[in-house]
Amino acid sequence: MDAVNIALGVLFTTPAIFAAFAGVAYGIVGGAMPGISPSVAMALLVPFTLTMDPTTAIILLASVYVGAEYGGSIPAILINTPGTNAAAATTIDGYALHQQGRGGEALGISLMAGVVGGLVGVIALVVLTEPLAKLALAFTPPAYFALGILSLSVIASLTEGSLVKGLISGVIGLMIATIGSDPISGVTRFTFGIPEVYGGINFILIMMGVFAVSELLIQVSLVDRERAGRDTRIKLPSLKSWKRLWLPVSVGSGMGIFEGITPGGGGAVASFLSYNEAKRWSRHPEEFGKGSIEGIAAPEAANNTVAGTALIPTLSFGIPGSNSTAVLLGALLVHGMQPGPMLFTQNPDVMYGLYGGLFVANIAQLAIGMLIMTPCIWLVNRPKRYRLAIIYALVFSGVYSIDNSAFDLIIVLMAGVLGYVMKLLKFPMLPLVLGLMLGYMVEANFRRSLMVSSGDPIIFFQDPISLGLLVLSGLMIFGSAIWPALKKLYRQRTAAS
Amino acid sequence: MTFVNKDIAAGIVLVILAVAYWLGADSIPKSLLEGGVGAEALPKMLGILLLILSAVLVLQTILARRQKAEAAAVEEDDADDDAPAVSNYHKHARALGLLLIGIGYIILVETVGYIIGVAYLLAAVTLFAGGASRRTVILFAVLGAVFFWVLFVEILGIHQPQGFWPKLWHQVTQAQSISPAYSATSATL
Amino acid sequence: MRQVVRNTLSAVALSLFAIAPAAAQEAYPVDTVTIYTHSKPGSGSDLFLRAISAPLAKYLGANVIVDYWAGGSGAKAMANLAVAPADGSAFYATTPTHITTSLLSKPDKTYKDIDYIVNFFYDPEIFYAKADSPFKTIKDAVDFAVANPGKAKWGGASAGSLERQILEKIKKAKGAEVAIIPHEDGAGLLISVLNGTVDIGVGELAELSGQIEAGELKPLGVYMPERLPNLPDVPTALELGVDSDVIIKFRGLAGPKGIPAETVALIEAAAQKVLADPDFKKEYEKLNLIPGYMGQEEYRGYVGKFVESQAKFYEDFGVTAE
Repeated sequence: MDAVNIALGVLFTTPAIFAAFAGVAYGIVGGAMPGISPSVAMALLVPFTLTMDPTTAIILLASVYVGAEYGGSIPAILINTPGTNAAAATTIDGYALHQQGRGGEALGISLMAGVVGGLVGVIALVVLTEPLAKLALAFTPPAYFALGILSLSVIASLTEGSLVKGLISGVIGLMIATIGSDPISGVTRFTFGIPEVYGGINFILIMMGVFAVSELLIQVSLVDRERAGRDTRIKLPSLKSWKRLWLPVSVGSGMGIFEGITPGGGGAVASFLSYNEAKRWSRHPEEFGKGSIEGIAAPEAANNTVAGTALIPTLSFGIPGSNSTAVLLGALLVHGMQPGPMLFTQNPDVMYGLYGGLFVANIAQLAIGMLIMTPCIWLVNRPKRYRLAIIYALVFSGVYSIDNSAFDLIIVLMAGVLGYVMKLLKFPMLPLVLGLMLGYMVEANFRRSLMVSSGDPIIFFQDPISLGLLVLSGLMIFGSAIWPALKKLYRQRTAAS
Repeated sequence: MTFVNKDIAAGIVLVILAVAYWLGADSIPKSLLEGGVGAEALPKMLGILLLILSAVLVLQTILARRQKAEAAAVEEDDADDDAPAVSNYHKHARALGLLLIGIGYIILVETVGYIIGVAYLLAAVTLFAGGASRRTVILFAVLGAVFFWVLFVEILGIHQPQGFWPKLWHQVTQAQSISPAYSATSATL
Repeated sequence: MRQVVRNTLSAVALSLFAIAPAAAQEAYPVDTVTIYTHSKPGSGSDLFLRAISAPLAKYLGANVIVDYWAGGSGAKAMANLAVAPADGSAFYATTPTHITTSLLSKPDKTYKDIDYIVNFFYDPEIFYAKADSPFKTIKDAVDFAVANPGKAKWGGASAGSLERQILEKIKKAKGAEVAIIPHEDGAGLLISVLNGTVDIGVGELAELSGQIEAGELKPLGVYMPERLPNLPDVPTALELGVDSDVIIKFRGLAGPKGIPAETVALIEAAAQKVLADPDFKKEYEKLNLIPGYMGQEEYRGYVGKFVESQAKFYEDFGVTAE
């Protein structure tokens, strides 16, 4: 029980608790700004942490991560704009609920699911670091390729309406992902000689465009309608709702544990996969996409769990799985700590202090989340002309923060036009986002695998993880696209005869 | 129901896009570093995939139209959908207007800096999207710009464009330090 | 009157642009020196600059602040630097990235439009493998690859990275038939080495020292002209005859063209004092940086040679911009 003693000692003898609260509050605000990802929010704080003691500094940054992952769901629900990549799946049912005047309820669910998911993540971090670290190392290029394919297969079941349109949207996403330098040879593709896109198009720019800007373009010509029964404050889920929520929250947390340890996957993939699974196992799958409370709980639990488990590969190997953990890794290095197997023996106070700090941060999230929500809801309920103006300015300001580049603002506007046209023609948006997120991972690892095997595709079936994931994606495509189509065909036949 | 079905039109545009993309992929230079599968392989596959899918979309729509020519119109607009119909040119014009305001911001913010840029954006959008009294708009724009500046630059510590001010400032100070009259004054003070 | 105007103006400027207040300094031509980086806040380069800014301020006699010209992997920084005032107030923190960008994405302003002032450090690269690897040195790994065509797998960092170039160069020189597999970055490569996807990797010592200390990895060779103080027992690639010449990552300062020679001399003097500062020395040794001071003349020549070797590599391997 040394660990517990150390953790408590750190919490009560250093400003760690204060750091956890401050970090979460700052993180929620940062994450709620469209365009400011958790990693940006953390990076902005790093210079200030240089003068702090290492434990406080690390707890502060990790708490920002926790807060930002939750904060991203606020604009996702209230203005249909994910504040972070991982909150993209939350827009589906979150915004639908808000439009029905149940925004406060949606925010309450995302908060509670986030807190539960976050705590699961910390527990997994504390208890399962060793076995999970082993699993993380087992991910080879073919396994990553298969993981990408599995995530892409979600497109088939996420698409409402025309499947062809969903697939087209996914292909366009993959096409945008090919812009920039080639992952294997480094030659540039589709850059048209513009140096700004040499490194690829940051997909948060496309997300800001297709979600936020296109929504503004549509809303500008809508009548400012009154919504009946508009929530004006946050509502935590009742016991009765929890009966429906425990399943999606468990699904999300499970996915989050798994996803956090696979560097490169990140929270966004976990939230899409868990959204899809929650829908499959739900007793009310028909509500998904039209304002299901389960559709918020699953992805939010997932991305908050990732905030905990993503630390596993970072701390045990010094391998950051995402931009956010990369910033944390940088901070550890500056404070003279070498992430890796020796970290726990060399700096036990920092590590156990971090565990304790993360627990506090997740509790703090509940309190601060409740406080911050009412002004947020008030803000989005202002008359349309002010609301549009503020969102437009928020998007531009946030996007500029990513790379300090005005060219990014142009990309966002272009993506906004793309999103507008897609909405006009009823092409679903989420396959595009998925394709964009996964394109690089799928292509790079496909080609890497073939380089390893000297061109022999058998490698995808020899690697056990890859084989398992590929079979799973096959089942998923069959289960969600082919099977219903066959059933329909069969029914038509029998009806005809 | 518009004269040309929107899905057919979209399908045709996508077919053209697919061909253009494939041609673009074909012109990607070869490199000795690319290993077994080249840099153009996935793009070419995507081009072909898009071509097939858009052709399917066109065919599907034509078939569906033949099957139920009269029912198709009902499918056009869902009641609870915010997106405007394709033929609603007035709404597209409004969207274009908002887009132009955004382009104006990008131009302004690089030249006159963040605060003025945001004030312009807030004022322009408010006026465009419904309007208010002149005093309210000015107040909203100014207070809003200050709020945004405090939030992004001061609290979050994010760099926003400064426009030509720093350059101007630099020139002013340069000119002063060169000017002998100025040095004399500052020495006596 | 003028004083009042100036004070008001500077007050406005300070509050508007949050420039750190300039201490009254007489020594350096300007009060405040800004070092720009294209790296993101919180990144390795950024943290390095923050570490160096304090001693540099001390020895230069001016405020030193770190700011960002991000975007386009250095393209924007070069464009801004080319038109920045040549009075010693603006510098760009150089790493090899901006040269890669100049050569591959052909922006309007390239390394040709800026000038090199001083170099501070080298980032030493090492060859490494898993602790239980049969190879003892990088020579064993190369010999194995030559003897067993098509069997060996080497891992480099990102597609056009220096780490990959090192391996491709060795492969070509030795005529080995070996798959060189690029990764997203050094961290991705580290996983591939640890899980056995590739036999050996090349990376910055700073990223690897934790794993080496813990006994998970072993260093096979150093890619530097001389052995490293932190790894005295590890031979260099030159000693082993694996390569005949080494290309090294550097960290220094570039400025706009036309900075007066006296100003450059002041910076050169300060840079040497910075590297000799005992407190700072402790810090950079911990980060595994190798001091590599070069004055303007030497640095210009060094970068020129670096550009040549990069350009040749890209040409030889057919990596070109569209």
